[in-house]
Amino acid sequence: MKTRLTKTGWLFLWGAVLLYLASLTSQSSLLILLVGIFAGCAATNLVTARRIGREVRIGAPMSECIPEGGRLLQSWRVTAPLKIAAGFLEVTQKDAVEPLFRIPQIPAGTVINTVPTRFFKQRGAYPHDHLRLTSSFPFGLFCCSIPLSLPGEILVVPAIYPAECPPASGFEPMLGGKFKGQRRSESGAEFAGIRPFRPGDPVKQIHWKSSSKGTGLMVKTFDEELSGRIGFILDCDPGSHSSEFDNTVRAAGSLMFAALDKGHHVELVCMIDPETVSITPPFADGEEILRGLARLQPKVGSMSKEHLEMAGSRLSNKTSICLVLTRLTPEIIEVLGGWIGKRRRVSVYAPENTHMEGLPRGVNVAWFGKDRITDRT
Amino acid sequence: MKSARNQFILLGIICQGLTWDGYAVAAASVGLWMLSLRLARIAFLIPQAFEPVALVGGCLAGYWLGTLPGQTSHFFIGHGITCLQALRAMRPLNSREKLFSLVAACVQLGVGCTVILDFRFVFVILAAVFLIPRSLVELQRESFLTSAPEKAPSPSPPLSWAAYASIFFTMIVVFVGFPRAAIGSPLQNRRNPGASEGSLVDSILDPTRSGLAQSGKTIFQIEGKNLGLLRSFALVDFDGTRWFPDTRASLKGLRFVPTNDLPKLEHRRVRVKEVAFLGRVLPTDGPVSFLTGKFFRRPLQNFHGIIECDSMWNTANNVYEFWLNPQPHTDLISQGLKSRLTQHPEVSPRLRAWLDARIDGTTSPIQQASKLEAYFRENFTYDIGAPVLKRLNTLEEFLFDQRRGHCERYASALALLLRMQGIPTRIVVGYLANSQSWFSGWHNIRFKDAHAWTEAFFPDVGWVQLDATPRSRDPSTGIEVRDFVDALDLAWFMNVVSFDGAMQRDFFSGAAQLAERSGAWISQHRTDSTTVLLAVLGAIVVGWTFVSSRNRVPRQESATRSDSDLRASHYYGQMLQILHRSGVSRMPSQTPRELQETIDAHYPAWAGNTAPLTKSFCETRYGGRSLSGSEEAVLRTALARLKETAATKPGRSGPGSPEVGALDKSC
Repeated sequence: MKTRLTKTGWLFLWGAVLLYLASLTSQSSLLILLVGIFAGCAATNLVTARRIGREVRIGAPMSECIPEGGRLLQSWRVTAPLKIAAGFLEVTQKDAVEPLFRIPQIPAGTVINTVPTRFFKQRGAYPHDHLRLTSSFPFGLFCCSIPLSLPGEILVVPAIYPAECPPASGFEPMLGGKFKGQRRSESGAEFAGIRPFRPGDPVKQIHWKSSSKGTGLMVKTFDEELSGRIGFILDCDPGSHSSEFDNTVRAAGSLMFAALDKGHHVELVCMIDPETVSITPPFADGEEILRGLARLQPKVGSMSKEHLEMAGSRLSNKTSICLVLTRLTPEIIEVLGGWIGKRRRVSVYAPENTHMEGLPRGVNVAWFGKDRITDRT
Repeated sequence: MKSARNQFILLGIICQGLTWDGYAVAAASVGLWMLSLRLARIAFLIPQAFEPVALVGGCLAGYWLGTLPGQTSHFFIGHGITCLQALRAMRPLNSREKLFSLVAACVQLGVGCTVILDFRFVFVILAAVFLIPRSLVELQRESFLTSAPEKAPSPSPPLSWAAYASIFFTMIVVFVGFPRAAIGSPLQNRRNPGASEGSLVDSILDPTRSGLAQSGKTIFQIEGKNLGLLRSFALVDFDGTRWFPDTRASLKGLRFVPTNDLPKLEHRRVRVKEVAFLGRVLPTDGPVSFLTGKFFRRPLQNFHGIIECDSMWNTANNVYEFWLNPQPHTDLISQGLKSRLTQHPEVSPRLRAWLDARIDGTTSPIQQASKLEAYFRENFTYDIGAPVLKRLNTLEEFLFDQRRGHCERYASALALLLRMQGIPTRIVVGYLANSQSWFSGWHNIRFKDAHAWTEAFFPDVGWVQLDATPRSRDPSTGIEVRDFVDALDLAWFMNVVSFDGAMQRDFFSGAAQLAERSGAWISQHRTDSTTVLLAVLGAIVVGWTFVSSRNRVPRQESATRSDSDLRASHYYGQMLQILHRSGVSRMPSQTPRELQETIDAHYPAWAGNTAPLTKSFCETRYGGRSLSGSEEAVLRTALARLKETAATKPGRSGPGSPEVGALDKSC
């Protein structure tokens, strides 16, 4: 438990020193009674605040997932098993300026539930094992803080914004796929027509209305439903400034969700680990993608030519490649040239104000900012 | 005005107002403060830029008014602060300004600590003990709520009486134990001894004219054994109607004995309440061997043994101490002085005959003096309201006609009669220490205790005190309320206001001696003391255990249960989320058990995993059972398995999957 004097405490300490000096010059020892009141307040504050820090218990939800810029929704439980009222409680996360929540007063021996008020502006995992409970009750002269190690965490996922889906390739039949193929199938959402019954056709496929017209048994046919594949390669280089990587992660998340909404398969390779590909089927809720992006940390030098080539090789050959970059380098351009040479469909997303000169022909280019993707060409 | 901060500021303003004489300025300051609060309520605004002007203006006004007679300009900054506080009361303040106002009030209270030193200070300090903590709580709460996103209008957390008691106790401990260093005696007050209240001589010479003659107001208090008559003035010259002090007597410095010899001497300690009345003279009841005090400068002694100071000022606690010389050196009087001390009006035959008749049969001057003294005491009457004597032949009128009067008449008559016999005499004016306080043991010397007596010089004996005044018929009766008040006043000033470094050392050495004596007693009565100690310790342990078992244990358990409850609810919530994703939703009307039964019936693959989660939730939430670590591990495993099982179930969110609510209806 750490105990320190607050600004008010320092002010009153100096005030007490001045009063003592004044008692020397004015020769009135009654001034020491005033010093005694200050000392009494400080002592009471010290004892009470330490007691509160020792005995107040915090119960936190095991996990909560919120988007960037959002507030927590689940309540935290604060138990004060004290005979006296407690108050001026502050629960702060490690290295955070804004407290998670503050409680002005808790009546003696009660339990209250409170929803944290802090806005989480940056994605990431905020474990509860680095919390700090602070109290300066009742006079604000001394502040006692005690580290809390609770189970659970708060996961702040990147804020997803509307984006246009990158071009996909490698379309394959997929029930519920949003792309219409040239062939007909026996199942689907869009009715295409009828054809004569062939042996082996299931009875439930028979279109009884047209069969009843005397031309023989007819069966229903539907438009073929296709689903494409998009492989995302996420640059994990920190970029030129602190927010650039977060912007990149946000853009990647938005693009992936746009692809999932379009009914494509999404493959993701993060350049921290270029050998691992995570595949998300169409129409998945994408929760795992967001959780993974929330925990992603930048790594200097992760975007080398060899790593990029390896990442490309891990993606299936039919997959369209979508490269989300923190910066564009000649090495990347060289690799892009190789992919284009192999007739792969490639899209590049780079931060705003990135010069896209020297890119091979056929590469789709777009720029992303903090909360939008612009000027796609 | 409900705000504790406002109340504390008001206290500071009152303290500042009391730096002026009387209560008028304090009352005016309170009025100004109230007016400011009233104006704030009707949103009367004065530009903020005016505040520095008010501060400076208040300071200048305070300084200027302080130069007026009887006032002081020491505290002019505080008057400026009063103006500033009043102005700031009219507008809402930010937290920093509020803190400043609190500090400013503390400064003004500090000023009060240096000027309000009598019983009023008790009220001030008690108010401060109550208001300072409340103001700090209020300030902290306001700053806490201001920086908090939600501004809940909750009241200030109440402070327990234990908190106030601990603050008060700490205040006392700090006061007693704080190193005093150079703190000697209290502040030198601004008031100079004036003559407004009359002098002692006037009061004695004509008590009927002075309203203070029979006043019970205390002039000073004196502590000592075998107190004699306290001498203040010596009247030597007589012009036929009035006596006058010896203006020609030269002053010389006091000869002090070494301090090592002081414990052997008679000691007197005097606390003067009315310095102005003393007239730069320190009353003593004998020849002085040593003298200390801090409210006067350069004490000198004249031929008649009167100690007169160069200057004297009023402090909060005017104390002087002196030690008496048991064997004083008797100065012979010169011939010139002897002729002055034997001057008397012409003696008429009638008076001579009367005098001869009184001293008939005695030849020794001392015997003659004693005989005359006894005659007056036995045959005359003490009366303060006796008619004024005729200007001509006052002595004869007193002796033959009136035969009553106050002390000065007897002292004067005896002195003149002895002078007629050729004995050098003088009248000494001072005080009679005849009322010892039952409460404090000190003698309270009041205005009515002023007295005059005769001193006669005999060559072989020296100066002898002769008090011819008959005993008063209305002696003071027993214990009086004012004795109690005086004792309280004395205790307050001697033990609190004057608690200086020396007193602190005495206090601690006394405490050390007490501890030493207690240790000695314990070692002597080892068996008894061990029993007592064990009994006390046992009582403390039993009491502590009782209190702990009564207050702490149930609260602790409740806290643990709440924590477990929270965890079990969390796991159960996770289970519900997984089920919901898989198309099975719990209806609001369903209990956890009913949901489990439904799952058992329709989703047997999930039932094995949902059962422990439901059971632990019910037992923890409704049964009050706490959740152990191993149980939590089981729940986590069950949750992971349920997630896998639910994810592999075909058509988990499809239209065909029934909801539990629908199943219930079908059942």
